[in-house]
Amino acid sequence: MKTLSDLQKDLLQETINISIGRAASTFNKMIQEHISMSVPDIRLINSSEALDLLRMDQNQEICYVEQRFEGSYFVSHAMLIFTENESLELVKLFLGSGDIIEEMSLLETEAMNEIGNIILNASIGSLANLLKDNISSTLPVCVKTQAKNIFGSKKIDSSDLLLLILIDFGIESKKITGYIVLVLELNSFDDFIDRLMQNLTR
Amino acid sequence: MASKKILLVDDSAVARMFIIRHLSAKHTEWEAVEASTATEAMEILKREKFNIATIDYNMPETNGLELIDQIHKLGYDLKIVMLTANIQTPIREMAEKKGVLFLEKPITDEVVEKIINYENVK
Repeated sequence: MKTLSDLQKDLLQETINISIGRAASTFNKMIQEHISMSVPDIRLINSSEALDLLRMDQNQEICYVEQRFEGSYFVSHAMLIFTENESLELVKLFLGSGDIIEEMSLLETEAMNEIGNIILNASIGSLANLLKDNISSTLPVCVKTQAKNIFGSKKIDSSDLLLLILIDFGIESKKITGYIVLVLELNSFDDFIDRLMQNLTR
Repeated sequence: MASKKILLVDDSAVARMFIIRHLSAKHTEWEAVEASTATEAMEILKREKFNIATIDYNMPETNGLELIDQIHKLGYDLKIVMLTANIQTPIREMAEKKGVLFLEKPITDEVVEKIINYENVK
């Protein structure tokens, strides 16, 4: 299996740190709470291995928001993933308390879509700016399912090699943890790395 | 009583709600009208006048930049703010080239203040 060189891994880590740092800052503005984020876990894997990296029970009920991004250098499926209970807690934080609480269940999907839209666009938009590329995206889609189904709907061949970038993040004071997962289709990987090299090392 | 009008064009009901919540609490002189698509926004603009419109970029069918072009083409007299999660430099540059204010989501109190203060910018 193809592996990442140390330099490639370092380059990707730095790039993703910048992008996710932007997402964390945006997230902090949204909910006024400190956001902790892990160092990105970056791996070349088969899609069938991806689920093992999410430290979740396969039958765990989850809620995730997904967007597909496409530019000149990569196609990415980006996901923001929470357990179902934690997603509801997050929505409460996002919407705030007050007279709209009774509408919470009606607004949950709308709110998760907007949260995902803002965070995933901050991540990928920052990456696009580093690449000096213009990236188009689909509208966010919120899905409730079990953890084992996350990667099943991506229309990615299970034998395809993927660049998977996994960041777990949390709002410690509220005991909410989630994942940002960026799956980059590998057929454009070499061009992607070359472009990053050109723009980040000049 | 409301004396100023703002058109909120965003496919996210939550995004529209955040702006309305802030206006209801702090700026009751503003009346907000909502549109969830560009088509709906154009229908509303045909029959009502507004001081400001906020326009999202990523929307179904017609994106925010295309909607701005339509508004300019018909010569509607109002200030326009592009309010979006899409932070990409080319989108910002294209919006600014069209003479509109570009603001990034999330929608905080500070962002809403910038929107309504934009009404007075020459």
